Amino acid sequence: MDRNRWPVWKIVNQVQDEGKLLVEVMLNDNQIVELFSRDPDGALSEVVKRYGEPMRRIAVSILMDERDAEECVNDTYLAACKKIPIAKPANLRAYLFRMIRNFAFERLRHDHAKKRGGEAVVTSFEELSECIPDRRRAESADETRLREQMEEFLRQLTKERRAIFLGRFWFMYSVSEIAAQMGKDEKYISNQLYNMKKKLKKYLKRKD
Amino acid sequence: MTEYDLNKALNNIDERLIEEAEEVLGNRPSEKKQGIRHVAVKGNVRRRTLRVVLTAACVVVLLVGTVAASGLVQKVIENVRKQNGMVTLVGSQDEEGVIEEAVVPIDQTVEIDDLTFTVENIIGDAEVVFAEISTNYQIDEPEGYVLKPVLGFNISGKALFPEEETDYGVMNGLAQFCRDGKLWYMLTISYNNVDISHADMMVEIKGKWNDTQVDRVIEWKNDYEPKKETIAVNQQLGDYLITNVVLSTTRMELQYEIESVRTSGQDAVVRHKLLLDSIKLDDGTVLQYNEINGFMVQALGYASEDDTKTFGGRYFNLIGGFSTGGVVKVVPFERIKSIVVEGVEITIR
Repeated sequence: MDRNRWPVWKIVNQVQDEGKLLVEVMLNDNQIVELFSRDPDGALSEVVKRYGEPMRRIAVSILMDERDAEECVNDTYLAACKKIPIAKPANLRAYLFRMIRNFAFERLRHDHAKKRGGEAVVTSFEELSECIPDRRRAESADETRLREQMEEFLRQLTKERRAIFLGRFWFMYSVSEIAAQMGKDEKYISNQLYNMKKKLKKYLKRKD
Repeated sequence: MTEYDLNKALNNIDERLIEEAEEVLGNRPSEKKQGIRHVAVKGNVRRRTLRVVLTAACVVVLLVGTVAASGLVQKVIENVRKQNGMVTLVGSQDEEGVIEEAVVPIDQTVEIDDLTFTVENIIGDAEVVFAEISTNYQIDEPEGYVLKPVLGFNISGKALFPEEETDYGVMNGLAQFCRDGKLWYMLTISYNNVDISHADMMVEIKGKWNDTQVDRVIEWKNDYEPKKETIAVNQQLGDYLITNVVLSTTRMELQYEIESVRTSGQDAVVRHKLLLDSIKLDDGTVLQYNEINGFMVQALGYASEDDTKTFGGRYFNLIGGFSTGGVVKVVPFERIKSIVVEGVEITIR
């Protein structure tokens, strides 16, 4: 008997009840991934509900343009329908976020080439350029090597600092958002980021 | 090397690093991992004698995409086609008259320009009402459950209590169906410890239609005698003491106690959840419970004063929740003879 063929029940709105803690049970990520094979529309509506807003936020952080970001989000949805049934990612959230970052980067590069003359106009995206040692600016990047270097650099950091770094440069959170999420002072987060950027620059220089 | 390269490299780093950062940043609380999401926390939630309502009241069945091609599910669809009556929306029933008796015709309609919504029938318990809503909106979908959004309306329901100040917690669930090429809904309106079997009810339909914001209300009065049967079990099952099985027209509740030191109200219920495998009817038919893909159960939990014991209850929908031989069945609760919980069969009558 194929249990996956059974109907599912789904909550569509929420309860409000004074004094009570209310919890909604939803499809979990693994279930959404499975659903992509059988009902992409349904799976997509779950993705939109759960990750639509954070995905849009990431795209806006990179592109600084609502309309471009919206298009990136739509591109990601389309790609998700095609790729997820095959890839069956273990971490749906990271998979989607990675996908939208890629789309946003591609669009940004395209836009740079087309109309911005290579000048980045973005925040956290641009910020990382401060970490590139002058000597390495001219080199053409070896993608694999650079990824390995980034991983090695991150593994040298403490768990907390790694989370701050990735919060800023992977999840594209603002300093205040990271501070709020970690229960820290904004100044503390800013200082940590400043130090880590300097450290990364040194590290990349050393690895040259 | 540019910032683009650096960002790209960062994008492809080991996923475990991302997951770890998510944990630290608080993006991925343990509840989310279990598929649980908080939707509202209002008022003064006290740790002691905390009433936790994990509600998942409901709702509906979404026959999934490939399902149309599935022989098993085709049977369900055929049942929907062959039979009239709301129970066929959420399952078939071989025995005539048992559940149908509980169906109450309502037949109240509202119009939004050329679009109509009609509450056709309801079926209810003391605390839950399933309302079948038809529309004249034509859709090009296979007969059965429709998962993708069709109309952009928000449809919700609640009881209208005499005391205006009263605001009990209501939970709604909604599912879409295609029947005879038209869009139908099944709406569940669910309360906890509030008897709505004779309450005034309303369904609100809000949304945009022809570029205009619309808001329509359908009202009716519930008027049925709820059926309920409480059967004492008192059977130890591992850490659980199953105290009672409470049966009613639309659902079954397993009540239990567990010795536990808990850290939070929802933890008590989320962590300690009884898994129901199947039920057996008086004629020996075994009906499997379909807890997959987020199938909803409603659960209630509260802790003893000293925080050492949890009292819990989990609800399982008898409409849409059980099946045999590939066909979803509506279960007449009078016929449930035994239940299989965590692999152990418990005879209840």
